[in-house]
Formats: sequence, structure tokens, C-alpha cells
Amino acid sequence: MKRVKYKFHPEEYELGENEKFYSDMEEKGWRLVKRGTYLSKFTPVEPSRARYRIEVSAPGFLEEPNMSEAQLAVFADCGWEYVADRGLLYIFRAPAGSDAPEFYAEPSQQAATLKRMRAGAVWGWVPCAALALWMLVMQISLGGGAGRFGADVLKTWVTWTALMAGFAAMTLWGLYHAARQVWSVTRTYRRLKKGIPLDHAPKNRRLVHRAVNWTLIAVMAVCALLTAAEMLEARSGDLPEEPDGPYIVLSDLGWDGEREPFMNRESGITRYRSLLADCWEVTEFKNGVYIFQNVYRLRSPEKAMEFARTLMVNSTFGRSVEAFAPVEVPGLDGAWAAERLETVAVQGEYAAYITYIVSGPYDEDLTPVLTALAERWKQSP
Amino acid sequence: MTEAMYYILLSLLRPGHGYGMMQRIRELSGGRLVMGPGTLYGVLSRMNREGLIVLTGEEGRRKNYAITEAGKNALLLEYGRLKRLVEDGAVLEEGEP
Repeated sequence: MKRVKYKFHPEEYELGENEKFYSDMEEKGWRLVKRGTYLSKFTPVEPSRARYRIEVSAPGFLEEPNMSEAQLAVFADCGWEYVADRGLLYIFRAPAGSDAPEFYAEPSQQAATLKRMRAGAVWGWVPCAALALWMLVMQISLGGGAGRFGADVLKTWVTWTALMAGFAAMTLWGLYHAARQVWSVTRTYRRLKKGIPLDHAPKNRRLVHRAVNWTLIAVMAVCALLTAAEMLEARSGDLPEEPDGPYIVLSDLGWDGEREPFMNRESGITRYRSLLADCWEVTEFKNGVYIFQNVYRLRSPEKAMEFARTLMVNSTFGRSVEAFAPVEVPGLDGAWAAERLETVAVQGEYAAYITYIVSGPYDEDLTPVLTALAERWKQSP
Repeated sequence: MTEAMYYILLSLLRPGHGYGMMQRIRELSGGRLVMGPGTLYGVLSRMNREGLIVLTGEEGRRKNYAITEAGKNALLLEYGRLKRLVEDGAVLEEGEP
């Protein structure tokens, strides 16, 4: 059975590091056969010393991106065996001690081949950044301003902490690589332009880079696992007649009778848990009365009180802290109501946002809802 | 005109392919100039675009090039310029300050 080995290679823009990496692998008895996006494939050979060199193929606009056969023939005639290519990189090999000449006698000539790679590094991130900025501006303007967008982000952070942390780590990872690529290519380009030859066997300067890179990758992996676990743990189902958690049902408010569908939705409950909170999303429809509850158990009373502000800004109708007026309800650390439709309440580690709609004439305020909730929370652990 | 361009044009007074050019350049420069394949191909594509050389045919994977009239004129101009530089510099051998 033919054995092969796959190893992560240095980044595309680290020319000298890649050359050294492949030379070192051959010295250990592994010869490059294929270069992929992140991994290189090796086949076993007798350990030997060899020189690896990389030519950056930088054709002009609309020109054939591949190296021509004639070009490869000249490299071969000079003693350079073509091994593999990926993207802009063409990798050649020559046994140690062969008289194969270096690709460039003048470093400035090699600098010219890096122009396209440098332009890609410097400007390549612009379309992504522009798209992200456009999406952010749209989100903010359509979503009700920066404050509301911030509240959306904070609420998602509390309810889907691992997902948000993973997304943040991924963004940081992308930015780190983009910045490093610009720095590295520009540095190499400038050195070559100054006449300083490419270092074909650089000392290991990648320890810090590897530490940062793998730390961020590990964070992303952990967050992905946690997100998967959170999703698998989430449970949606029918709403029990008697509450089995820190939420209320319409019968607590004196609304008896059969539950009924509302806009093709049945009454139900979803329970899930994030790193920062246990969450319950409850919807119930009965006799023209609709109640929607988002209940959270945070990790401390202080966090719950802070989260109340987020819930007010994130609310469907009020959309700001100012829209909510304080309500005194025994048994609650804080309660606020807006337009007899929405209320936000806090007690200990619990926080809730409730929308309560009664069709037809109804002139009561939301005190009964808050009182029932306070009673329920008193019974919850 | 760079040294690489000068020697490539010089070598192409006798049409040939890439590797042949490199050998010829080494001969012409008395072994002083060893042109790498990266340099050679960069300069060849540039001079081909500028009409100083032309592709004359293919021999298997190899491509043969020849110098054009424009290339010969450019080479002669550069030769004349270099010759004048050397003539002007002759004062150095006469011990002039």
C-alpha cells in the first residue's frame, strides 16, 4: 500500500518559508507531489538534500494564468524539475549540488513577479470590507438605528454566545491573516526591490504566527462544538397546561378555554441554553388573547438587570428605554411597561420580555401579567 | 536597456530557444553572466510585447525566438551608447583627474 502524508504548509505569500519547508521534508524522506489550499501531499523517498524554489506566476490582465510549456521547458533545461503548482505558485526542485541556476540573478527582477500578489494582498480585502460595511449600514438603517443594532448584537451574544464568539474569532482570524499577508508581501517586495535577495532558508520566525493562528482556530473549533451542542440541546414542543419553567400561561391570568392556532402557529415552547443564559421562548393563543414571552435566567442579578435595558431597546413596539415606564410590582426587582402591550421584568437572575395582546375592548394595564410572573419566579429555583 | 535585455538581444542574433539563449549568454559574457530561467522568461515576454523579438516556431515544448529589425536597431543604439561611455571613460586610463 502506498503511503502518503499530508501536512499544513506555510501561507502562499511566505515564499522562503515554503521553499525551506519542502526542502526540510525531502531531507526527512518526504517529497512533495501536490500542493493544496492548506495542505501539501508528500510521498516517501530516500531522504536527500534538495533545493526547492518557487516561481510566482504573475500574468497580466486576461493573460493565460498558467506557466507555458515553453517556460516549463526552460526551467527543466536549467535543471529545475517542475513539481506542483497552486494559485500563483509554481514549485520546482533540484537536487542539492546541481548547477541549476537561481531563477533570478537580480532580486529586483523577482520583485516584479510579486506585484500581482502584493496588489491582491493590499486590495483583495476591499470588496469583502465594502460588502460587510454595506450590510452593516443596511442593518442599522433598516433595523432602527445603531442603538437597536447594538441591542440585537447584545441579545444574540447572550442567547447564542458560542456562535457569536465563534463568529468574532473567525472575523479576527480573517483580519489577522489579511493584515499579515499585506505586511509580509510588502516587506518581501520592498526587500527585493532594494536588491536584497530572497531568503531561501529563513529562520523560524513563524512561532508567534503559528501560536496566534492555531489559538484562533482552536477557539473557532471549540465555539463550533459548543454551538452544535447548544443546538442539539434546544427543545421545541407543545406548551404544557401547567408551566414547567419560569414562565406563565394564560390560565394564570384567568383566561380559560381551549388554545387555538394564530396565523397558522400553534401555542408552544422552545427551551435552549447558551453559555450566558438559560432561555425559554413561549407563545400561547387563546380566546383572542396572545402572549409571547422571552424569559432568561442569566448568571447573576446584575447581568439580569443590565439585560433588561437590552430587552427594552430590542422590543417590538417600544424600541427604546424611554418608551418603557417603571411599574411597581411586589416581588420584582424591576418592571417596566410600554403602551399596555409590552413589559420587561427582572427578579434575581431572571429577566423577561413579554408581549401581551388582548383583542377587543380591554383597559387593564400589564400589572396582572407582572404579578403572575413574580409569583411564578418565586416558585422557580 | 537592462543588461539582461542587451545580452538576450545579442544572443538572438542567432535565433534560438530559451535554454540555448542562456548558454549563449554565458559564452558571450565569458561566464560572467548566468541568467536564471525566471529572468529570461520575464524579459522575453516583455521584449516580445514590445516587438524587439519574435516567435519563429516551436521545437517540441520549446519555443524559438529571433530578433526583429526593431530589436536590431535598439541593440545597435545601445551598443553605440555603451561604446561612447567607454570611449569617454578612457581618460581614466590616461591618468586624467
